[in-house]
Amino acid sequence: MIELVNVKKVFNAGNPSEFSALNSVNLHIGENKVTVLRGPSGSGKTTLLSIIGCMSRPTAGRVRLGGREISSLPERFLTDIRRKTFGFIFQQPNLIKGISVLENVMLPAYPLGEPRSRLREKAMQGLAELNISTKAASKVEWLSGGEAQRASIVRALINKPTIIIADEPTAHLDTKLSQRFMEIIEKFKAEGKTVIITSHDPLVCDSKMVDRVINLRDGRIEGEPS
Amino acid sequence: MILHPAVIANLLASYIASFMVVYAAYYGAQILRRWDIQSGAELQLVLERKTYLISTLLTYVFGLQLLSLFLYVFTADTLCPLFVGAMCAAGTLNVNGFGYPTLVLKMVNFLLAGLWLVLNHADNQGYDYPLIKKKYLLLAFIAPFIILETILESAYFLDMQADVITSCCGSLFSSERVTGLGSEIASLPAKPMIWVFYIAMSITLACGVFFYRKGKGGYLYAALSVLMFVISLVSIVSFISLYIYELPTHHCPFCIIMQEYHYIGYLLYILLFGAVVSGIGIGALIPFRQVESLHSMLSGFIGKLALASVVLYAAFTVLVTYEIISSNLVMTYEVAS
Amino acid sequence: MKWHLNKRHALSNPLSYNKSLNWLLLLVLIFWVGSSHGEDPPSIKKTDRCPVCGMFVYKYPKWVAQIVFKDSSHYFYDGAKDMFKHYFNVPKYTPGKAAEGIKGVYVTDYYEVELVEAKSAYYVIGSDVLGPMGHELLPFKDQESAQEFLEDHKGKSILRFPDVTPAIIESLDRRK
Repeated sequence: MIELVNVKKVFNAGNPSEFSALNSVNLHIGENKVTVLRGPSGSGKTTLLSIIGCMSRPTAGRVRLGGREISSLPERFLTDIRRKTFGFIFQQPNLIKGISVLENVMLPAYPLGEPRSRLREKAMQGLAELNISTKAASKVEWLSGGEAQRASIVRALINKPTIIIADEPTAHLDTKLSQRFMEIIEKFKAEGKTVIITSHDPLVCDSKMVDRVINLRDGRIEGEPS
Repeated sequence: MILHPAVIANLLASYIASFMVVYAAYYGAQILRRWDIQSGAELQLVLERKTYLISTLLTYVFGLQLLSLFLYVFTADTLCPLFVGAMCAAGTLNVNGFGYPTLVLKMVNFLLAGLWLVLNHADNQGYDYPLIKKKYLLLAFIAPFIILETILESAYFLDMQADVITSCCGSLFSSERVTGLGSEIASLPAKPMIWVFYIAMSITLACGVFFYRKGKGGYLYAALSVLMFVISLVSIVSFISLYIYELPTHHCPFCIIMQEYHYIGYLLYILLFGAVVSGIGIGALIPFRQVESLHSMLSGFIGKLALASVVLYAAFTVLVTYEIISSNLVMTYEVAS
Repeated sequence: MKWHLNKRHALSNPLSYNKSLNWLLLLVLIFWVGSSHGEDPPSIKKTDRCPVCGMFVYKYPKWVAQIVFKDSSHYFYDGAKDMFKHYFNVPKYTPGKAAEGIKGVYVTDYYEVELVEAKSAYYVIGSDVLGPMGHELLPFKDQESAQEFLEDHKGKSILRFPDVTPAIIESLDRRK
């Protein structure tokens, strides 16, 4: 599904503070599988995730999505693919203060120009599936940690993406909420989605629904060949 | 040199354009040599980033280039009170030997810049940079013209002396003087020229509409639009100007931009230049209709160009016809041998 | 307007003027107005252009020349030179009109800046003073002012109206 060929990422190239975040990464991520990227901080997990999710471009190497080369795409095409294919879940919920939960959830869909009423329906449906529809009109400041996380998951799903990307999703959740989170991931898998998670939480890495764990260290993949 | 704000604006625009074009052409050369969309090498990715930046910059630079033609003529018109014998841009352009060559080059560069913008727009619609090499090849071709224009324009403005007597447009575009392109055009007999204009325009518009609807004859239309452009410019000097001025001997193509004539000249020239650039754009894009990544949108874009060109030429004709009909001049006499 | 003032003045002191004198004054004034009305030059409109070169004449009020035709059409010029160009070839710049149809020709005296009869004026050529059209014939209403100008501005010669020929006009144009 997602293929990385010889991907290299260097920050501040040419400067004394040049830093090589990823070195020669070759990777193949299977479709409809849950893949976990594990490694200590500074190992390049988040950088790798952002390259997979079309949020940044590699310094060298190619990325293919469903067979199609995406790392060379002009910006407008890349943006389009990112918007339609990926859903992002971050460590922090990153909800925008001052607007309601419903509006937060609808946000990523605005550029696609769907009629607002239909979008609201979709959003309410999503909130219902994760049992927070009662909070639809609430301000985000009033949500508990778990509710906020669930709201951010609904937001990630609003464009019906086929690939979910989660960066350290359980870092700020207690055990019960973390387990609930993994149940949601199981649901994604059952729906046919592909999931990529970075984590060093054993609860995530050792979970039975995880198909593959990739270990990263110093910008390289240990052990498993691609 | 005359420190007039318009002069400074012209020179500044010219230097910026030249600088950016040279900068872009340098990277363009790299792209022409090393571009390989299949490779994942670092250089390729750098070039991909670079082309995005350079294309954006050049879009603005060439947009500026389009405006600079009109700014140049406007400046010449504004400066004419400073020169004895000049009553419009025609006289100002004649104060030294660089004025008219610069104008001609600006006209050529308007067409080239417009062509590049059309090509760039098409290239941006494809996901695999389908026209990138053609685009930078065209840039390499345009670059010397831009630089030459800057040199001539600098020579013109920097060498401008206020104490010269220049020819008035009445004599530059008079049908009496045998020498000079202006007089040769002005002395073309008006009535036959009117027929030539309208017949040529009818053929051009018909071909354009046919191409718009059937998709055939694009190259023919592109060629016709260039021909019509030349005929229209000649017609302006030959007879259109006479009707606008209501003077049977005044052929000047520059007085019509003056305030006293409601700046109609600018409108006429904008319509004309817009029409010919769209027409040429069609000719440039037709060979790429089969390119895979452009397949879905190119025909639509070419269609829009065709429509634009036809509409602009039609609007030009309507405006000219209006001027002829509403003019107090009656051309029943054989005017000026 | 002078007439208007006079009338008021006359009527404001009815006791100090004989009534018949009033009427005499009135008659004289009417005749004065009546005669000068026919010679009143038409005023320059913003849209008036020199038929020879197309220049807008209102921009150069000190140089204006004028030809009035018998059919009461009139043309303004931005200098005596262009006026002569029209005069020497009337049908070229105004098709349908001929030199025979000309009623009056006027030029602006360079010093006094007022319209004078062109046929009785004195023209200085070759001077260093340039008009809107470059080298010009500078008109003066009398010989003395023409001579004074010629000495002050390095003029070459003084011409009368019949002395001016198309060849002279051409030589002015050719001078750089």
